Amino acid sequence: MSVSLKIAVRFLKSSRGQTILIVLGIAIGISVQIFIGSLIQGLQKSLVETTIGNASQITVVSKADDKLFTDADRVMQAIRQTESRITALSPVLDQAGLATNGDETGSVLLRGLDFAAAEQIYALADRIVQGRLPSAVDEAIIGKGLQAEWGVAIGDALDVTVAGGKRLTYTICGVFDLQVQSLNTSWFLTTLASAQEQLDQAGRVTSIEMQVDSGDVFLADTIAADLQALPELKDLAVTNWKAQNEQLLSGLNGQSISSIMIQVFVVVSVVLAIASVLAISVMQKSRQIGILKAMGIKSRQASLVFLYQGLILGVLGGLAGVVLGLGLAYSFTVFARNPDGTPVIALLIDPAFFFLSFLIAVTASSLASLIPARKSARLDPIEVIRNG
Amino acid sequence: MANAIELSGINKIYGTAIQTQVLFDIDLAFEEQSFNSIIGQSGSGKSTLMNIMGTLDRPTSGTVMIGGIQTSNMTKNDLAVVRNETIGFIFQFHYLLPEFTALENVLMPYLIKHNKPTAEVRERADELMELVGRSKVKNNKATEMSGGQQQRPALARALIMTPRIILADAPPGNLDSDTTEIIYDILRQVNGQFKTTFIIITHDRKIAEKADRIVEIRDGRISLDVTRPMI
Amino acid sequence: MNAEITDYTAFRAALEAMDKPRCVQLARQLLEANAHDIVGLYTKILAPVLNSMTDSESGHPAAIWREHVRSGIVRTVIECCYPFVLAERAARQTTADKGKVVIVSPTDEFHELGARMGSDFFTLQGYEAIYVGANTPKAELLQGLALEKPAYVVINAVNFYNLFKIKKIVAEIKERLPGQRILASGNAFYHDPELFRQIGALAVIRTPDDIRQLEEEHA
Ligand SMILES: Nc1ncnc2c1ncn2[C@@H]1O[C@H](COP(=O)(O)OP(=O)(O)O)[C@@H](O)[C@H]1O
Ligand SMILES: [Mg+2]
Repeated sequence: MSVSLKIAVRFLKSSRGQTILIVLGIAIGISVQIFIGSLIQGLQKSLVETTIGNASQITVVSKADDKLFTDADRVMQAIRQTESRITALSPVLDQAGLATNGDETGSVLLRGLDFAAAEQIYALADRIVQGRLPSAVDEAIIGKGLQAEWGVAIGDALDVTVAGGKRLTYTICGVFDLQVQSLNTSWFLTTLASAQEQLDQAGRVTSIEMQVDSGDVFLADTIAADLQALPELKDLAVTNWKAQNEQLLSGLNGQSISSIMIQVFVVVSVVLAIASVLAISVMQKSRQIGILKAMGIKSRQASLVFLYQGLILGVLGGLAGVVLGLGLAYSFTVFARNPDGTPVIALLIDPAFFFLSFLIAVTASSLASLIPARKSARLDPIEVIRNG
Repeated sequence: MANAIELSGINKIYGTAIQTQVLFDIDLAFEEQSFNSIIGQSGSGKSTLMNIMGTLDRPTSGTVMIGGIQTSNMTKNDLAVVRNETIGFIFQFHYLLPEFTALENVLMPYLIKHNKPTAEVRERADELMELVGRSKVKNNKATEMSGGQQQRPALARALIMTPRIILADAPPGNLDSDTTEIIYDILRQVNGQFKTTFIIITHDRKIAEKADRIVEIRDGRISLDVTRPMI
Repeated sequence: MNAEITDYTAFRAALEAMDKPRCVQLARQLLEANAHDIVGLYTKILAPVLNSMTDSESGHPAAIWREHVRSGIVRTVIECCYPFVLAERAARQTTADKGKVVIVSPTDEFHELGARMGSDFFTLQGYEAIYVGANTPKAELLQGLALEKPAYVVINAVNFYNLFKIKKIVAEIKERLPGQRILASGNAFYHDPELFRQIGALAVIRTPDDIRQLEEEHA
């Protein structure tokens, strides 16, 4: 152990009250920073999840006027081979139509899905609230909204008139709840094979929907751009959720920035507190530093005494801050609950973020000790020796 | 014999706007292994002179040689090394570091140089505490000792590096005469045993008259510089 | 065997034994037999014997005690020599008309044997020697000098620490009594031929020859 470290430890120990107070100050600052960070991250994550968790994140569409294309299998093959970050790949044949139930009429989106592939995107198996998924050519499921509006029961038949005047009849075999009102009132889902047959579009689709790894959600735009470059997709267009949700994104962005600002200010105030306490400590210890310098301690060693103090305070305060932050997050999820028992806000407990906060505490308090360290290095022993 | 410390043409002026000259053209050399005292009225410039000799303060003009080496062009770090290795200080106002025990204080100059104490130097520190008669309180914190009680561990600390020179700025009359005499005897013993050069500022006649040489400073000048007569 | 050495040895033996009657007796015998004059007795026997003993005994637990006892004996010896001093001066046909000489040691100077011997040298040289004694305060000295107006004042120091005090006394005498001639004496001065000048004295006096030389220079 270097003499500077020894002296630093002894200085901290000798003014125990002051040391505990700074550690506590750092701990509180860091725990607040951790709490705010976790809160905002959790909030954003759940927001993004509800927005795009059960939606297509990257979509391949046709550029043609009829919005159809044929070689979906070849395209999907190419995508699968080049892009490993894609987790779901589902071909869809969409057709707008007008559904009628007796006197009532409503516009719907008739969607032919490959339910096995679409499951990874929409998790429909879990979202069927009545009945089952369609399998026969004339079976379809509708959303909870439409069902409630029209009072449709399982087994009822509905007509859908599509462009060109063709009228199709479906038996409703299930009701889904996608938890998005507009989808629950407009989607009219049938199998891809059924749609292709009924609409006379054998082998054709209107889009290929995709999801990416949850960690790469925000890279959807670059992945989409990569896909667009594939030769198999040169006549097709690739869109992604980010391009379609600019407002949400800028909202999230603003939230992130303000969260970071808050965190930065918390850390800055911690740094200022440490710096001022250490600066006072240099004054308090100037006698000792003077004596040590007279005994031959070098300026570098003298400044290390205060850098070490900052480092030690940072490590202790950072650890205490992480523990306190975890406690705060835990009690928040335990005590702040909805009537149904779910947490009001799902905090994101991210070990990497906690470790980062710890590093910030250590770095910040080390930085804060730079000024006192410089003072200590510059202290002229004669000032102390002369004046007693 | 060679000189342990050699001052030539030392002037010291304090202040820039209002200048006070405290030392005037001091030429002074102390032989190695000699035992010297500096006397003079309070405010005459003794401490200033001693701080310049100990490289803690720089003269306004003039040169300081320690062990035959010029110090004027040395960096702060070089001077720190010189102080650590060749000079032991006993300060007028400051004794021990309050955060450390007496023994840790004694070891401090060694730690400054080597970081870790060896078994030998621990033993030596114990011996020095024995020598100054303070073995019993070696594990006491400095805050548990009075100023007077701190003086002897401070002496042990000054000796731990076996410095060639000991500079002592004794506080004016806060020791009883018995203690003074004991300290003096220890200093003399060290002087004989380790050939350490002693330069002691003192207000105590008993210490001063037992030195080999007494230098009197008056108004920043050497007013009288006498050596002990051989009988 | 050399007579001087025999006398020295005999006196040393008596003093070593702290035999006061024998010491006094030996000194008187030497003077009566004209084996030594006063100066010879003082400088060849008393002073060297005393110094040699102080030297050889340093470190002895009772060294200071014994030194003090012996100094007391030698003081008695010197006192007993005073009639011989006067007799010797009469024989030299010198009269006491050269003026007064005040001989003092400053405060805290307790060694006075040298000053006692010195005052006898001045007596022999024809001065009226006024021996004031050891540990004389500065104020008393200044008063005394103003009263006596001596030709010389001799300030004596053995302990070299007293040189600092003497320097101040000399400065004050010069200020208060301009023209007063000031001399220095004592062991504190002899090892450094420049010291007397530094404290402001006119000369340093160690032997009767020094007094004679002084007279020549300041005739
Ligand atoms: N930093 C300073 N600025 C101005 N004058 C000073 C300073 N330090 C000391 N002095 C003056 O220098 C003189 C000598 O001081 P010092 O060396 O401490 O004397 P001593 O040790 O003999 O008592 C004093 O008159 C003191 O007031
Ligand atoms: Mg001083």
